[in-house]
Amino acid sequence: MVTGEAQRRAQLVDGEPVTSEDGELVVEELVVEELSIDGMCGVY
Amino acid sequence: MARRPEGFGELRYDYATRRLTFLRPRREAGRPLAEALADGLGAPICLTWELTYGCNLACVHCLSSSGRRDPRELSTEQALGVIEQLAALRVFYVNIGGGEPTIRRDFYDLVEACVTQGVGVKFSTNGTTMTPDRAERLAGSDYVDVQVSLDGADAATNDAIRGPGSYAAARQAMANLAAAGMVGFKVSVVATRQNVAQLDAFLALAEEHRAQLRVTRLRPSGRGARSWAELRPTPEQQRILHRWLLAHPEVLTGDSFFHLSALGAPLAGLNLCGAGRVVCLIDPVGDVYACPFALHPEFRAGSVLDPGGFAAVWRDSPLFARLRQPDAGSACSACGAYEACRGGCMAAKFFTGLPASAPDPECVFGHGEAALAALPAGAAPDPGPGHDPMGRPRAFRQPVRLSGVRLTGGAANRP
Repeated sequence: MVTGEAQRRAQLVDGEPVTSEDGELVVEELVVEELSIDGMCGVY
Repeated sequence: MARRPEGFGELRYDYATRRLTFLRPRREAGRPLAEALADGLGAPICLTWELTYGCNLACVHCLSSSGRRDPRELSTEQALGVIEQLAALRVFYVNIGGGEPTIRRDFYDLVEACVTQGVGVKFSTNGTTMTPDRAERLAGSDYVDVQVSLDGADAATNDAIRGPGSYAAARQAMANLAAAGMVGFKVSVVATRQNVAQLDAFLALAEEHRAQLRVTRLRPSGRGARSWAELRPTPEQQRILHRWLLAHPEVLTGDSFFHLSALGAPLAGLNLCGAGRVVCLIDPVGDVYACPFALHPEFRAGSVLDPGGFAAVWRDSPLFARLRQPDAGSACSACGAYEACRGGCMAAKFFTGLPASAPDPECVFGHGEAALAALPAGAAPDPGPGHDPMGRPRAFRQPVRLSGVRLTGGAANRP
């Protein structure tokens, strides 16, 4: 269950909350890295 | 904006800007992002889907040796099933190619199905079917990107690789897309010995059409195996290319030149072989391969027609499990540049007969040349006849048609 405290501390990126694989809100500090969708080898 | 939790944190993709955002806990920040991704993901970030081996051109370097359609090509119903699977996995986008994908009658229906289900599309085309009407339709979608292939800034250079009339067809397609208001479509060039001197001209051409230039690496795959020795850039040209790409960060590369990062400053991108880790390929008959540059049984992971479909292949393939293991060590591990180049491209090594532990055949320090020289005759795998039963690596078909208009020799070569 997500507590009110967790919701208040939940990370937002671009205004959207961040969730983990099991659906829990992520409350710890995050590093945000950006990349073009073209930036991965394996696509021509 | 699409979102997908992953083991390392969360992935997001913005369809309009075509940018990925990786969100990781700060306690993970000491680990390079590429390393975290090398372990593999719950689903590909994107993948290449070759819809058909049919093509109205016969480019001498074609990765998939395309020409004639395979009778086992996925049906419309099967293809729609694949799209459903990709959408369920939240694959962000597919790079649709071939052959020439637009020759399939259901091509635009399949594109529409992708868009409807939230899977972005970029499709690669030789431009021969890009009529003004089609350009208008495409210009209206944030979810569909177009990539026109061009390998020369003039007809002589381009058509020597892609065939008579192909330059004119590509230029017409670019003009139609620009006229339709499609800003930022891609013009994709494979860097060759013959066109490295034309990089500035390519950039000017793209900018003239409000398009974005993309320059990618020639691989010795498919028909490229036979033409690689003649077409691959020289070592000096590789250095020129590296400097030019650093000077032009606005030019895309598909992260295909990470082997050049050993020259010094890294190029933009993950600098990671994404095969089986963040990307893969689905071929026209539904076979799944590690990447588009490795269409060989050695790199076949399974089939979308197998029980469990694509998701089971991505998750359970022994090949992909092997690719997601940490590097086992190689001849390159002791090299000071290894962290930059990661030993280069596995497909380039395989199709030149080098083992995976060898240097890249185009290692900037020449270690690849030395390794190639030490190979016994016949070490490189036979590329086979491909999908053109005539097996014509350098013979071209009749001049191409653009929307039913036959190009004459003169019109075909007019810049």
